[in-house]
Amino acid sequence: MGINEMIHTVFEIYHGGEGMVFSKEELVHIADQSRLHLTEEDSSMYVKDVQDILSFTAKIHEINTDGVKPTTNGNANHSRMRKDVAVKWDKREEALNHAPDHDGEHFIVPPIMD
Amino acid sequence: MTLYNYTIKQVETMLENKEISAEELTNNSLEQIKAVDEEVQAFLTVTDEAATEQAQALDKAGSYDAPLAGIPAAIKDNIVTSGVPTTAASRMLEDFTDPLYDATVVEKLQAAQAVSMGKVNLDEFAMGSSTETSAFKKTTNPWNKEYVPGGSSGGSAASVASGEVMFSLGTDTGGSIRQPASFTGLVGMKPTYGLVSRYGVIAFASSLDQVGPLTRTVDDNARVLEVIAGKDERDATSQNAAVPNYREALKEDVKGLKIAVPKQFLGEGVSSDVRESVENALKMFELLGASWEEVNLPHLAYADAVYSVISSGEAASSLARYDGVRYGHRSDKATDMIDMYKQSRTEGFGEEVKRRLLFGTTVLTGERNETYFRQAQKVRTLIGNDFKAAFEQYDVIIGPTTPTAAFKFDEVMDPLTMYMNDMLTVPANLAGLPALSLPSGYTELGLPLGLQLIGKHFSEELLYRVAYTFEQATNHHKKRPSNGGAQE
Repeated sequence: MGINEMIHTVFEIYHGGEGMVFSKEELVHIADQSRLHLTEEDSSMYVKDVQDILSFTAKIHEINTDGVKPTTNGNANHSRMRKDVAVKWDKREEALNHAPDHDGEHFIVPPIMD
Repeated sequence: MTLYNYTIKQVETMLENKEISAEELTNNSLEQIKAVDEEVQAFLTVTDEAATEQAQALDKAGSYDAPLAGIPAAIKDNIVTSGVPTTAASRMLEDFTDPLYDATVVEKLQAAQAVSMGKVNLDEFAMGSSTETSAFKKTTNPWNKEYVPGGSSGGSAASVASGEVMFSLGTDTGGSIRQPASFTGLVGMKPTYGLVSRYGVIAFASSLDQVGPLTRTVDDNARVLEVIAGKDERDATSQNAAVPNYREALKEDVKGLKIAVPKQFLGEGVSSDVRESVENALKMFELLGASWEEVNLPHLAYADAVYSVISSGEAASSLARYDGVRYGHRSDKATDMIDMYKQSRTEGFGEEVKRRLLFGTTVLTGERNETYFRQAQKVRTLIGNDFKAAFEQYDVIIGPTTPTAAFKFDEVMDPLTMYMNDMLTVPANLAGLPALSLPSGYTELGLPLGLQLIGKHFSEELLYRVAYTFEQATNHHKKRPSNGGAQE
């Protein structure tokens, strides 16, 4: 499916009033991707909120953007590049002290596997 | 002496003439904080000892030549300050009490010898328009304590409006400097994207965020921007533009100025008192020799939607760093690594931040990455093109800063209605343009209203000149909230 067909389909769904287009199952997946736990109560609220914001923002599909380049940078100009030069930094110990858990050399985290 | 009755320029002269010392200025600021902050609730951290020491050192050296020598200031708590807690008003960073470096803008304030009185409240991670999403406190509007100060730089605005400090730094991703400035009767500048370094500014949406000053007068504002602007090697998006002497731009002259007023700025959703105040301002500009015309910028109607998609998408990426590993909150309930991420983020982030992370992740995931996020970035290009076309014929764009004056606490419950409060401010962020809000009148209830000026990239001098001319021709900036606290 091409991008414009996709947009058209999405537009039809939102303006066709076909009910729930953002399901609780999707929210579960999105919450996992966002690394958040949601209670049952949270889920009921957020599934409606995300649905509402998706519907509100769906108006951007009214616009034909064929051939339009996306703006990905806040600058009119491009970002400046600099040489990749290593800079000495002597606050390793202090930085480690910001960590919730460390052994003086490494960050300590819970087991990744059982 | 109450600070809000003086301009930075006046205080500078008083210091030079030894009519006041830096320590007296600092004491004055601390006394006002003590007197009103219980009600205003602007400050999260007051650095009274450091401020006093710094002021005493200034007096001992006896020279007040630095551009902001001895001037009491407040810094939004999403701007990193060495050794001073920096929380972004989030439980996630509640224990981030000892940062190891200063943001570039803070270094620059220090070089200019401004005296920081501490860190001020905001919506959590700058996500909000009322400062109600702060995890720590509700900041009130110094003009009326039942009303919000706006947001997300609500603490920055309230601290200046209540005379606690003479200027503050805020950040503006979609209106977070201009909207609170408008709600509290201040001048707030969101500079051109890339004029001010973002190094050390806690990212919300990196293609939109900018730091800027909140002050009571245009002259004060120009002085602060002059100090904080400029290229920074540590921020690749900061631009190599020379920083002009903005104070020299402050001349009363708008003769021949061509003003555009987008019809989308005075349309549906804009309250009648706001509309009337803009119409009066336009009449004033005509009297001063400028002309104005209504223009159609067709894609502005989509700016609020484009902003929601892009800012939330970028936020989902920016806030991925809060994982409980290197700094920030870590839950003690976790059983494994992934669960540690989840538990820590679930406990650390508040309701609105989670809403934006969930929506942001939604528009970055699967098909919606093309249909929402990419499409929004394309419409963003068209919004920028609309502005470009307008600036071929006009010098400046004028409209209201916000659709209404300040609202009451808990009045706006629905997230979408809250997002709509930014509909007039987000276009300048999307296009990377400089935009300034200044006082333009008051509602029947005595709440301030703001006028917004938008210019071409790097046209801050022109915006200051236009704002200064309007300010000098009106008396709006001379009103004060009673007692520097809240009035009923």
